[in-house]
Amino acid sequence: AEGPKRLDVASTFSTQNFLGEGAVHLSKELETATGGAVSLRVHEPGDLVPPFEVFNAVSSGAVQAGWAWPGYWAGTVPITNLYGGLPFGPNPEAFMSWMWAGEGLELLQKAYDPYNVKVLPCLIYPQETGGWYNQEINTPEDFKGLSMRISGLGAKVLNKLGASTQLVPGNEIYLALERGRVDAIEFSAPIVDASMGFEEIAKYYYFPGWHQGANWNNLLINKGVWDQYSDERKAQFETACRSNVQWAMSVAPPEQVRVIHQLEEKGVQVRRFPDEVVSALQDAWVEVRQDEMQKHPAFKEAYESLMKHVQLIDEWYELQALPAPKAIQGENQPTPVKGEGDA
Amino acid sequence: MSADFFSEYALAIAMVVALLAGIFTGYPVAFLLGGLGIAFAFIGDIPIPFLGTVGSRIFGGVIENWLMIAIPLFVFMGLMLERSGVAKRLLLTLQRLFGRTPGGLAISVAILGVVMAASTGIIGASVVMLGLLALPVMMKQGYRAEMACGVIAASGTLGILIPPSIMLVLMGSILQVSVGALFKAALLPGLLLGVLYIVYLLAVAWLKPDWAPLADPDALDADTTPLPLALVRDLLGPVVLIVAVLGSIMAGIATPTEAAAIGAVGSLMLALAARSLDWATLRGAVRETSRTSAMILFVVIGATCFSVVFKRLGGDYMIEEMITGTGLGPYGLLLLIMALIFVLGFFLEWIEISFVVLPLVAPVIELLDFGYGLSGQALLIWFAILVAINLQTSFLTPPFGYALFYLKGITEGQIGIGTIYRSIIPFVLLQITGLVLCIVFPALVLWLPGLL
Amino acid sequence: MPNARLAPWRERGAAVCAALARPLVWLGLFIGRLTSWLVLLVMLAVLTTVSLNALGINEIARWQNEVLLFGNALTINSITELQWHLFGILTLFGGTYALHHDTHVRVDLVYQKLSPRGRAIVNTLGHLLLLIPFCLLIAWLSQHFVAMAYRSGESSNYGGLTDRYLIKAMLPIGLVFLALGALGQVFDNLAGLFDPRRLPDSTTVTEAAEKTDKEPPHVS
Ligand code: NA
Ligand code: NA
Repeated sequence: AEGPKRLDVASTFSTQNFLGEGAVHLSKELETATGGAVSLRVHEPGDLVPPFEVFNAVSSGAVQAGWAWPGYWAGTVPITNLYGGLPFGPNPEAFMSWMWAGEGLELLQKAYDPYNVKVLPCLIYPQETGGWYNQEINTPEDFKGLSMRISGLGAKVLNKLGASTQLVPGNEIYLALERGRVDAIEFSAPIVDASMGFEEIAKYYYFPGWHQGANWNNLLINKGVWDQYSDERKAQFETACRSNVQWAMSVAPPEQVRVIHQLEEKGVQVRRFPDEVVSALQDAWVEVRQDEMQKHPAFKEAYESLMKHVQLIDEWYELQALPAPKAIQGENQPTPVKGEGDA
Repeated sequence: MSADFFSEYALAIAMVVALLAGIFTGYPVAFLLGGLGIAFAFIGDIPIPFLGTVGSRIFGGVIENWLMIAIPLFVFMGLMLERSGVAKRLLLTLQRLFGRTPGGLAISVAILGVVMAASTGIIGASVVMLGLLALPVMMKQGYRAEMACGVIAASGTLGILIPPSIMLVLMGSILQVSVGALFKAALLPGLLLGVLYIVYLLAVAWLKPDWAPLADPDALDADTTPLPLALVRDLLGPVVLIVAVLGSIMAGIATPTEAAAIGAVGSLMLALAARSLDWATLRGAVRETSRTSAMILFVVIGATCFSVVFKRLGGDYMIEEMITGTGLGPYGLLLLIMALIFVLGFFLEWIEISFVVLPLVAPVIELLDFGYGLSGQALLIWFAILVAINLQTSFLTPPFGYALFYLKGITEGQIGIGTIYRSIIPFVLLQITGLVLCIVFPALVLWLPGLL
Repeated sequence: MPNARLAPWRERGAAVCAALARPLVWLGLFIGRLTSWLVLLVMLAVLTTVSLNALGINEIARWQNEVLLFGNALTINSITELQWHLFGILTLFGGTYALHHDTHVRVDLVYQKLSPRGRAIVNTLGHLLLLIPFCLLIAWLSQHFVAMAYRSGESSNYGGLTDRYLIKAMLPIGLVFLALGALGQVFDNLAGLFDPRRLPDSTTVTEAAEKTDKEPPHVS
């Protein structure tokens, strides 16, 4: 028997932004790879099930497939914190290398196996931002008593520095920040944030996004459905996903910066956390990581494997490091996004 | 629409027909929605595991949905204010303030509705609270039920339009327009509706005095406290309460959901201060809160089952085809979309309409030329506000208006739904008038955000 | 009618049905009254979060051994999540409580013109064909959702409450409870259909039955 020609996919992101658009793009790649035999019907968040319930619904077979950021079920599958939001995590290139040329995919699938879910990494995007703030962060002390909407491991790191991390539901984030119920929020990458209108209500847009390295979006397919496909079809799914990853990696980074420029024009001040702050965050992360590795052996295994792999790539680039090319006199130099804390 | 259309979407159409037929049997709407969802899943041969989505939807959409917590809290606040007599005294004193203006009580209710609208965006909560406060007072004063129910349901639903409004936040992110601009844009239309209500109330009170009788002069005079003093005495508590609710939102102390709890605790304190809080009152309020909120939330639970099956049977494609399959001009298309949303409002929740319809029609709307030099953001914001007014109206339209059900729910069977249906007709006409005004004069929407 | 003689089998049927209905309805009312008080706890929890936020406090307490639901710390997010845990229970059991009080909204254009017998038929058929299948099927299908939360030890993603399976289990439990309540109403209605003398007051709890409980708005 052959699997469904049109796979119902419950997305955790609106197709109006880059993260959800990725699923629509994947559908096109899949049609190309299969000669039009298989495509996706991407459902908006909440259309079939609420975003946080996507994993569950795919696992039970209530929904055939899902398009999701894995960090949403870190409460269920702790290692997804690594694929969805690893503080001080690697860049997309290194992460991708680990995913396919290292143990990345294998370990992820192993974590999803007990839930009867096939996982296909189908989109990667660069690290997120440090978040939207209505007050300056000049020293680590500034985090004391700061009320911030942030989830996952990054929240645990901030807790160590005395911040009060909050749970504010998606629909109320805008109001909570506007009215000052929270002083800061973390949401996503600039191309996604820009669609939320946060620039209207926040003064500072902080970088770097220390709390999350590169992120993956995955296509989740119920194993019962997946196994209906022939081996050839399965291979075509993989091809489409890799092609989609390549698309995302090419499109996203330059677009982020274009968006940041637009946000600056609207009056948002782009800042960088001072080195002292980043270093304090890093120290706190060491503590949090220790807890996490103690509590979750699978997380420990994956983290160590990832770091070993990243080491190889870093070494290569260190050997090859070159200064940026010099400009020809009179040539227009592109102006970089400038953060004030950068100096 | 061709014959093909009807055969392709036969089950989706049958579902709507069954719903409309079913509600007239008088069986509870919440259970009818849920049960029909299950029944049509079997009729439509939908794989049973698919219904597993319903449990997830109930959990994510109701239980885990933090915003819904405001419902029992606002209901409790309303009950406490009603039972402690605080609300009654406030309304009576407000009436003295309005002198011998005919319809003064109804106008007070409308104004109270507008004020409450600024603190909550949850229809069920504000309609129920306003109903608990005002309905007993209005009926006691001899108001016609048609008059009382209409003004309560209509003013109670203003909350979803007047900012802060969660509906506008969601629309902003779906349509990719500024939420701040949407808030500003919604303000004038929201107030306009409030004004239209009041004008209507004045007219009725003048033309048909027996519909909106004045308070018994003896009753008003019985209160010999000089008016300014009485005002201070009776307004102080409730005003402090409203200021606490709105103020805690504005000052960033609380989100709108949390502000509901502040209001609930405040109402307890008012009752305590008025020495009308005893054990039986508290127990009664708590129990009725539980039943009334469950009544509201089970309609949402039933609807979530109905709609997921409706969509699975092609209901959303049916809607899409109805919009795109016509060859209408800009205004024709706009009217069609408005009519469609209006009808969908009969049986879907605003969240689902926003998610289903807006992404479908936004690209279409963006390409249309309505004159006025509208384009880009301004065009989308104008459109979003039109949709918002329309959705607000759909809460009020018989036979399937949530606001009407919630109001019905608190009348304990003493007012029939027929009376409530009749009561709302003039207000729906006023809503449509407001909508048409906003279509004809986009400045009403776009002037405040500075887009014109 | 009151003096009409009833066939003995009908009287017996009515008595049996009424006997079956009584404990089911009683249970729904008892639990409903109990869970009603949760609304005060929800209020308290919200006020606590608001105050903690204003004071910039995140963690209230931390301890060594894992405790059910709270893990090993009490944070602002534990209390935020506690709000909807309590709210969920309040809502689910409130549904049955409202059923026995006939608070669930009806469009009564036709219904109010029906005879008590007609109403009993509508309710019996509705409960049997719509409500009970809905509750049982959705409860049955939620098994996976609860089991998965239990097996994986699902917990908050925000450093809040642990043991998510507890609140998830409330969904099927609440739905089965509602189905039992509906069954109670079915028996109650059947008793009325067997023996019409039982009809007028039988469909809902009346003021007399729960006198201290409520005071409806004086609408007349
Ligand atoms: Na509002
Ligand atoms: Na309606």
